[in-house]
Amino acid sequence: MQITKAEPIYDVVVIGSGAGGGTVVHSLTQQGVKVLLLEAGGPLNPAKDFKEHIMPWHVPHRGAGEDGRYYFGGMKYGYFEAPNGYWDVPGEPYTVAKGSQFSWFRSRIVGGRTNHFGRIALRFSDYDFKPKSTDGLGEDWPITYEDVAPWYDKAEAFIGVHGTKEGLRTAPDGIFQPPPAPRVHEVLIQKSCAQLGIPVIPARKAMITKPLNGRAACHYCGHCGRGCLTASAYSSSQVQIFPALKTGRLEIRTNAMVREVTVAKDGLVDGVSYIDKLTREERRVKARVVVLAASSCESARILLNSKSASFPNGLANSSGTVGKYLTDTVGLSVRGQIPALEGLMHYDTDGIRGMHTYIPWWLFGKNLDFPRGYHVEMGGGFPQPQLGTFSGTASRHQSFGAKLKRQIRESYGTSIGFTGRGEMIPNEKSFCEIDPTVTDQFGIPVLRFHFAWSDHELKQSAHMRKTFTEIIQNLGGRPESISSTNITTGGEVIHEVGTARMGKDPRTSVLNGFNQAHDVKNLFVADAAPFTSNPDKNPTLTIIALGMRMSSYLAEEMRKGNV
Amino acid sequence: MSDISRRTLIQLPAFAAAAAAAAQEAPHDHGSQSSSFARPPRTVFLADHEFATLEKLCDCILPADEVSPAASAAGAPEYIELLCSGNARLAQIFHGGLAWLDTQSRVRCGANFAGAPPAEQIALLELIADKRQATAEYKAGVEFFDWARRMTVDAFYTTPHGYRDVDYKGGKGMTQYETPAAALAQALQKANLK
Repeated sequence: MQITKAEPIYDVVVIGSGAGGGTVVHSLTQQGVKVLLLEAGGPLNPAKDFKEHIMPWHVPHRGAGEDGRYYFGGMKYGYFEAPNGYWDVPGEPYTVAKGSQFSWFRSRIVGGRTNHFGRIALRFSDYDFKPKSTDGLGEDWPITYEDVAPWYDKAEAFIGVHGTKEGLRTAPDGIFQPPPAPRVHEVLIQKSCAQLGIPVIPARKAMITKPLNGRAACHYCGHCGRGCLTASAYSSSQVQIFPALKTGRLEIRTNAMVREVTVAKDGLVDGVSYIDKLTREERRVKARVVVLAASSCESARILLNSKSASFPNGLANSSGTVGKYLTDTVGLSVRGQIPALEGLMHYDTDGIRGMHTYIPWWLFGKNLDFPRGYHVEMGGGFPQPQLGTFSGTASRHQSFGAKLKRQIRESYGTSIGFTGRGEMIPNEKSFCEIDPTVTDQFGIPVLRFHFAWSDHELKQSAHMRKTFTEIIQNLGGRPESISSTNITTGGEVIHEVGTARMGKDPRTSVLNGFNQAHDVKNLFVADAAPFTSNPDKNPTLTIIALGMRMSSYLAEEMRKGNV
Repeated sequence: MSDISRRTLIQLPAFAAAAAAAAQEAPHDHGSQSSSFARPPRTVFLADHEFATLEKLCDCILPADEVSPAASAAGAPEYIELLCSGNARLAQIFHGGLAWLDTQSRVRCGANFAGAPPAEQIALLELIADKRQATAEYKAGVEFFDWARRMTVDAFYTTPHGYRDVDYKGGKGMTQYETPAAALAQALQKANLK
């Protein structure tokens, strides 16, 4: 290691710049705390890096990549999207144990996955914080809906979320901007689902329909996944990190791949050691407090790799539960061709990418053959043609010539699709650990994943299939499967959570209710690793709310001299 | 992180604010409908004869009709050639597939595919276009045709020709999203919903 000059001691070092890290640096710098943010990926310049508004013919390869990798599955989110992350990060492998299947998506860029994610912003319900008390499975959170509700309010008001007040227990209302009007197929689905007793309500997404804090209202171009140049769609980079830089209290180091959190003789953490990816040199920074927000599994990896005399099994791991209780979201999709949409006059369906309406869980408390529930996302309309838009049509008809052109023209805009997003119960077979033999290109031991769905999830996905089939049939449509399997692969929905869960009992959990390690009072985790359960509501809004709550607690504890 | 990249990042809030302000003034130009499209130059990778065969094949897959021009006008052969030049697997698929077409065409009518009478070209493609009906002896051709069809469709519908063909109305952005009343009424009536 090379220490050339005395480094300052930061108040707080935050590892990771996604929803959790972005929230924490914004919140803390607002409260006067000096923060160093370490990001394993590169810097972000939206003007250069976001491909919003580029048409496919503006690049000779139309989005397939110069090497045509689109055609061989190497570009799931497409050339125009802004993930800056992949299922495979070159030089940074992970392994999957025999008999398991798991895919791990990582973003390596300032802002992380928030630059491109779906922006679905759903509050957890009261019962979501008490899963064990509700049905005996999993574990209760150490905090309640009432504890988090004021922070949901603050989070929604700050990042900007659209939606409507519906008074549903399964989908608590929030501080909403007005939602965009529904598209034609969404109204059809809403009216048809009403006949089946299934509620269809305006979607709740972190996309602003009114100007907010200098951010322009959405201009409905549908390119949200490419990164939003006007920051109308929330990203931690544009909404939290760039403004935090303006305070003068934030320093960012990019391409900083954290190896471990360092521990002083007193058993408290005193900083971080990381590899500067550009020079491959190890660097060390000192801080009073360390906040991990590297994404659930990466944070678990850092904890497990931070072994010391005080923590031989990994940092903050006296319970042995770091890496355990890994869950992803249950997913299944069905689509259908709807005759009522054939010959429909064409109109602009770009809007907010994806859906303007969704189905919140509607069977809470009903007697079903699986626990918990799911929400339903939907798609349809006349999408902007891209590579692959008509591959399905061509493949279905196996035709060519003028006939194929006509079939594509006539089927365009006539199909709708439904995707279920449901809750997985943590199980013994699903966890991550350090692979005993494999390291990444920086010499850092990598994760090995174990993953298994249980009957709970398989029965839930079967219920999804049955429901979506009924909805499509009720609209007079012909259902056809989108998914080739009965359930998504673990990790595929990119909602991996729970690997450093919070809980009341230090023997069975890593963190307390303020995201603070039971074992080490100046160590916090602010991504989705602290989640005690993985409800059927996407994790991001709760990451942000808990990150704000944690930052407020942390700043106060620092003022009091407790950490 | 280097000083340069740090400076770049620090400058961003100013940029973002300016962009946001500009966006509030006027919607972005997403203009796609009015865009013109010039057939791109070749990335010379295939032999001239292979390219001519590919061009003919693309235009058989998506010929000109009363709505839009043929696939070649959308640069489909140039697109496929470009990707073949950058991807060995695609190159193998197309080198092999185009040769297969010639061989079969010579057996059937004594001429290479590109030089065969149009009716012979179509008759040959009929044998490999539908994998559900293809016989075992044409299996290689079926595999190849699936690639050619998929990539030709991709190429054609990712140009203004394709956008106009399917009558894509978006790509403009707007200040307010509203449900189009006439389209909604039409769909509700057809779906027998109120």
